[in-house]
Amino acid sequence: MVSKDADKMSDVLSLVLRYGVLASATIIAAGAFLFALHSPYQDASFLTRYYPGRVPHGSYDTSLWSIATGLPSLSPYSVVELGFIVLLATPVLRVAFSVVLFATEGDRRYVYITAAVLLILLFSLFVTPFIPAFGGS
Amino acid sequence: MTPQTIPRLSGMSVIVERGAGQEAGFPDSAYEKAGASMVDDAGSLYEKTDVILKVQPPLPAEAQLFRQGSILASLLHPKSNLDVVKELDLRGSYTELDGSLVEYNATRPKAGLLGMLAAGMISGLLGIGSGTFKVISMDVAMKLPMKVSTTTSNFMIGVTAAASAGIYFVRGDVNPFIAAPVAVGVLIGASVGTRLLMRARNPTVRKVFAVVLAASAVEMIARALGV
Repeated sequence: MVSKDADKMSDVLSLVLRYGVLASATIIAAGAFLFALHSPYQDASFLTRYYPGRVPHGSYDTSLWSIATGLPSLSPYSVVELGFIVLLATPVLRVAFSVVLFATEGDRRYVYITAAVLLILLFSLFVTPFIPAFGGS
Repeated sequence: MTPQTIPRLSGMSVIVERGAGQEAGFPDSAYEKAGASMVDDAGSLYEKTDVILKVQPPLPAEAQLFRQGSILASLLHPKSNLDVVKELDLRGSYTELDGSLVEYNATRPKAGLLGMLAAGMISGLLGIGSGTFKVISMDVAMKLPMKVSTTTSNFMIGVTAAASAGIYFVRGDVNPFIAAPVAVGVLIGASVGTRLLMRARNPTVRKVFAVVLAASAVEMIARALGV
């Protein structure tokens, strides 16, 4: 007696994953393409050089504002970063949707478990970067 | 349920297992008179009903008979009958490409939990793929089908990796010029792998897993010896 709604919800869940991954891959690939377009002959190896002695905190500006302002001019950097944000948001969205799915199924225990997973995810994404004990700023 | 309650359940058809009320002083004839239809064994009852009313907790064999989504009202004694309760929860099904439905139960959830703990600690300590240990503990301890183990492990990695990757990203540690080609390559590879998995059979998946496991073990030993 699984309800039609629950069936629909699990379809929504797989769509969230599928399109989230597809969208992020497309955006990241577009960003990489734009980068190649902007500097076709430039030696880009300095960008990918690895400095083992240096902790790279804050080397790359990931504030939403800087990404958003770079988008209208199709800055390759902003486009790639947007793709990463979509990629990171996909599993989080998937977990958030499963909370709703379990709620529609009336499965309380799994609503609690999934909500706890979601809270831990959101905590580590949005809170830990600001806590010194977690190595944040 | 007593025969008296049956007429009150208007719009519902009631099926009673033969002899179910005998011991409590309600003969089959009383149920039949009240409008219930009788069946000989519990098995066919589970097949037909959406709501199951029982007094005692279901036996493990009965738990296997429940249809997905059916409702059970009975005593469960959750503290004393952990195995049955877990059996009710830790089960699932998936559809193979040929349309056949594969149903499965998880066994030994405690051993599975310990395996997962080891997976988390070893991957945190050594930085090696916790997926390997997750697949092993789901396959060996919980006896899930190989495809279920690999896809579940994959999904868990996705969720846990989102947490740690997000932290690196927010701190500005991620070099987009290295990560972009890696991400595109991995995403293409992952979607090809997913399609292959749908076509593959469970024993084949297990063999591929074994080869990859052996290869990474050899590589780690070689690295530890400084070869």
